[in-house]
Amino acid sequence: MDVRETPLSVDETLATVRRPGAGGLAVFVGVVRDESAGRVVTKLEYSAYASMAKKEMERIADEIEREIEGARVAAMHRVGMLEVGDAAVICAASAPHRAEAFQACRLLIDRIKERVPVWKREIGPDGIEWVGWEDARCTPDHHDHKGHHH
Amino acid sequence: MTLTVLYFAAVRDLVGVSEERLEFGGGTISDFAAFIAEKHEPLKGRLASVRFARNESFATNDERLEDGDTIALIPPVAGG
Repeated sequence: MDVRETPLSVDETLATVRRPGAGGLAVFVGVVRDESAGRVVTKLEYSAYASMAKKEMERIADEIEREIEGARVAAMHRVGMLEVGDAAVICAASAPHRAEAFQACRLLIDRIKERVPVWKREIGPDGIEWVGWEDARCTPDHHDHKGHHH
Repeated sequence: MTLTVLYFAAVRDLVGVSEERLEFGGGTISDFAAFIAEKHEPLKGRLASVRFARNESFATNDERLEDGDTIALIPPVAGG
């Protein structure tokens, strides 16, 4: 489990779950795409509470390995400025058979997206916007008081 | 008690700092949420979907804080 600023590697992630008893390997790669909710996106800036993110990813991995017999999982998440097509997250799972490998990989990415403290800002022609938190949207009133601008 | 308080992402933008040491009278995570919303006016009314981490683990609302804790405000996460 890792959070890093450098490009992610599918091979490296897979290598950590490979073992002789695992006949199935599943991989998920989450990639920056060029639009979000109808807005054009040119870049995404990811940030993390890195020390907690690693621990939370490890807690998730322990849960899944307990829940699914014979499964091993690993993931890495990238932070920093990413462009369209860059891998933001890689999840890998191994298990004796394919059903458990797919299931473990799916649980891993779902729980990472739900619980791991990573955030992103979309950068596009319409401006910069934090993803996922409506309450953060600035109000005109807020601008008047704080004197900042976007 | 003295706490280290961490702010991330949109919460950091609202508060204006990434980290600070604060004196807190004691209590639960819920009490701390009320305290921090008073301390930083832009957080008022915006904490409904913010979670709190205590020493790098998600904390429940009734968890009691201890001197020296590191408390992080975790706005909705958006990894992947």
